[in-house]
Amino acid sequence: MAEFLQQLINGISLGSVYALLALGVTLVWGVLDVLNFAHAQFMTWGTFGTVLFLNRGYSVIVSVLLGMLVAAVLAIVVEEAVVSPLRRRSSDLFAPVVATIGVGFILETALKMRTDGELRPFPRTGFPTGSIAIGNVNVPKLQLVVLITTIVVMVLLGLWLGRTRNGRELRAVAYSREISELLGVNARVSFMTAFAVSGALAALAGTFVSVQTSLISYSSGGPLLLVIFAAIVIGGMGSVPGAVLGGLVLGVSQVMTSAYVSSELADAASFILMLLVLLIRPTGLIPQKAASRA
Amino acid sequence: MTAIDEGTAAAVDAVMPLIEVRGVEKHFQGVAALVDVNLDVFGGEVLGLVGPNGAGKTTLVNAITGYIPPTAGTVHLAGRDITGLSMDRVARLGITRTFQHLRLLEQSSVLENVLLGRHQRFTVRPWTMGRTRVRQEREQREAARALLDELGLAALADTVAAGLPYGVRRRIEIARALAAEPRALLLDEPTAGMTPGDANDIGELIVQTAGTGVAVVLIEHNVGLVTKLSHRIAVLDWGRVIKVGDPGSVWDDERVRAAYIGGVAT
Repeated sequence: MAEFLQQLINGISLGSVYALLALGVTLVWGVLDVLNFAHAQFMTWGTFGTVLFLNRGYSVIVSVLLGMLVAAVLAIVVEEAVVSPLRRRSSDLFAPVVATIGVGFILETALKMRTDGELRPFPRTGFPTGSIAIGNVNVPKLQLVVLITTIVVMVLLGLWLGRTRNGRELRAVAYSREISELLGVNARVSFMTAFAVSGALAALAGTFVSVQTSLISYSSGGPLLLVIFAAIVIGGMGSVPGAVLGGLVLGVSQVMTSAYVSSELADAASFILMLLVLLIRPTGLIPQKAASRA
Repeated sequence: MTAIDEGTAAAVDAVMPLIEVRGVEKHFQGVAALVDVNLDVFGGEVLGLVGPNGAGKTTLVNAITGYIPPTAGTVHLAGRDITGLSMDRVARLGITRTFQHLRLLEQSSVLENVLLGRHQRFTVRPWTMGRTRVRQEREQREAARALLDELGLAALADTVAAGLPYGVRRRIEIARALAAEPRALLLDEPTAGMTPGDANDIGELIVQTAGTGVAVVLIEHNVGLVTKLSHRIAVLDWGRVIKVGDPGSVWDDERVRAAYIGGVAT
């Protein structure tokens, strides 16, 4: 039982990181109808940003916040320079999606050149070490911090989307750019905001992944991208609670598969689960309502 | 239906136009949709905008509201040049509109739809929590409910918009526009497809709105209705304003009759 609980906590911890990543993707999808393939690179660039500031002696909190800022700025640049111009010129939604694939490659290649393609250590100084015993279960303090931070961020995101003017505007734009502009909402600002928040969340998630593996490379984000897409499909495309649930379900299923079936099947479990959900409930576990998407 | 009475007409601010359209042109790939359009709209009046199909009525509303930029000419709102501003900026300055085809948040409640119109009244910032946010949220909901009550929609506040009858949905759209507390309201065929009873209700609402000092521009094909509701009528034909006058006399104009030959203004 203790082992099962331990694995469950591991799964929730991994799932909460997936949820952070999935939230960013689903936010952009909800507001702009663009599936952002460059999201993994926002994560990697943001994490490298965090590393840069950690190596310069900044505190963990300041470094993480600055890393999030790096990714947010990068995301805004991508949105303004690539995604929005393409959306303005064509109603074809496929063009901006393909463009984000290109942007992803460019960003990954740039990092690869800058880091000589090497795997680098993630500086863990300042991050919590050791573990706390909760009953028979030993929970690493780091994992607990990751989990608590993720929950706090999700609650704040929910409050922001649901209860602030800015969040309302984002949801209005997600439903209809035209209606929202008609009522005085600056849709362009909403687009930038969605991308910026998405980038910042990716950087935070990336830092959490790297601090737990103690490693970072230019290609750290790539393998996670498909898992994130699976998470938002499981949860329901464009649905914020769906992204959180999808991330958690995937995290737990991967850890459990790895622990009790085979670690080689962990990734496959994600996609088997996704296919099952698609077959039984094609709109996902928590489908978005048109007016409450994003 | 409420007819225009002397009291309402007296409310029209005849000194300074709220909206001034000067020399506005709009060309689409060489085709002129608007030609040298000059028009004033005053606060508190209902200005009927009529003309045959393709005359340029919607294009003019689009050019005023920033939906499309005019090719030439200027639009001023209360003396401020708003030519070519984006639709959201024009809306923030006080001009709201409706479209020919309904645009509602279909899966949201009537109240949520109207609250969207009030979003500019939400001044709380993401970091504003606690009592201020709660108070403002409550105030906006109360204001939205009061408006729904005024428009006879209170009982439907928590009903999802999608399944409601067409006439009611039109009222919701107008309620949402009014929730923004606009200085000018531009309505594009608000009674299209309605039963006479529903059209009369919308007519009353339009007159009430103008009575509060709002400038109302009404695109309407129902000649009887537009004649009854409007303080003045502007007639467009082939992108030009061919006549602006009071509803009693405008239909007697030769050019207006010529524009409507075979149409409804007989």
